[in-house]
Amino acid sequence: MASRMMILFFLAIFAVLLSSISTAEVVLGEDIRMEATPLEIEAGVPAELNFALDGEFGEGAAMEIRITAPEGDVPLFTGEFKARTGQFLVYNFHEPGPHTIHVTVKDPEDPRDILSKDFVVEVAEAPPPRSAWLKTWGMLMLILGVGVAIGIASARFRYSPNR
Amino acid sequence: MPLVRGLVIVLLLILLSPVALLSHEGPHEEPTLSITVSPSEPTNFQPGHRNEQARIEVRLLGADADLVKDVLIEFEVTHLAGRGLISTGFHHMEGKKTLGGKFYATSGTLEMGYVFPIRGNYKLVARARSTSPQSSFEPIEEVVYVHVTEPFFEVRNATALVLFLFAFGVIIGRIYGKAAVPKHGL
Repeated sequence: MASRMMILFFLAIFAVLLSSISTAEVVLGEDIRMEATPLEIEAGVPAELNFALDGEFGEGAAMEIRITAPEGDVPLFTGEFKARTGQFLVYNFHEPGPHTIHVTVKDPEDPRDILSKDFVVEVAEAPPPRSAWLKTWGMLMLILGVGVAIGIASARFRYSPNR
Repeated sequence: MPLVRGLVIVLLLILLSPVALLSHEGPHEEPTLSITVSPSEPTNFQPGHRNEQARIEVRLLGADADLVKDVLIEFEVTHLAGRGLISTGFHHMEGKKTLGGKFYATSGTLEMGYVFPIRGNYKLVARARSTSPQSSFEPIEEVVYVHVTEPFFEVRNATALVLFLFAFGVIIGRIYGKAAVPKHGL
């Protein structure tokens, strides 16, 4: 009977230790979350990015957000904000391809407490509207047409039999 | 009994008068909200090239020219669709919101770096409201317009394309025009 009690006692201690380890993992490793709306991000459509903070970084944390383009060396956006329980950002991606959103959270009371996480979002290409396509090609054709008209007029003047 | 009640009322009025005086101590000077963009005429994003971020700073200054602390700043950047004939090349961005959010500015200032996506005019709107009873003020709004230009090499390339197309048209037109002119002696 005593041995059973001892086993139960040790099992209880083991369970308590395990739960404390798993809590520590949540605080250190999974305390920045990002939710994007819409889920399928499309170039030219403003995306709502919600960065949520859990655990001990929650209140008054300094959050730095950096968005980098697929082939860009300079970030498209950088900002450092005093996040309370999270940060809400609307960003309109205009280049298709994978973008990296680098988030760094600092504990204001202990600057050594830094946590960072990279989120990679795939931005889908948006088809240009028909009117815009017509506008671009219309303009190019107009320039070409004006050139042709001037060319014909100058040739007729230059090679006219009455000249 | 009515005398005691009257005395209590008079005492209450005397005690509350400083509070009333403090709460109506004259007109409050409202803080001023400012938006600065540096450089004042930034260039837009160019894929595959070294882009330069524009620095955007939103500041809330009090009547004593000190930064007002603990404010919530709602900030948004919107591209204004132009009526020009020449396209921006990124039609899906024209006239749309490009950046926005609500930010807690504990020091009274909000700084960010941003590469404007396309050329054209942008409307920058900042709205500030207090989150602390110590710095209470009426919500204020500031609007600034920024003109974003194409980098020099883009203007040069576009000009070269237009000139090439025009010259090509003139050559084609001259060849066609020469062939269409009736010859002498026919």
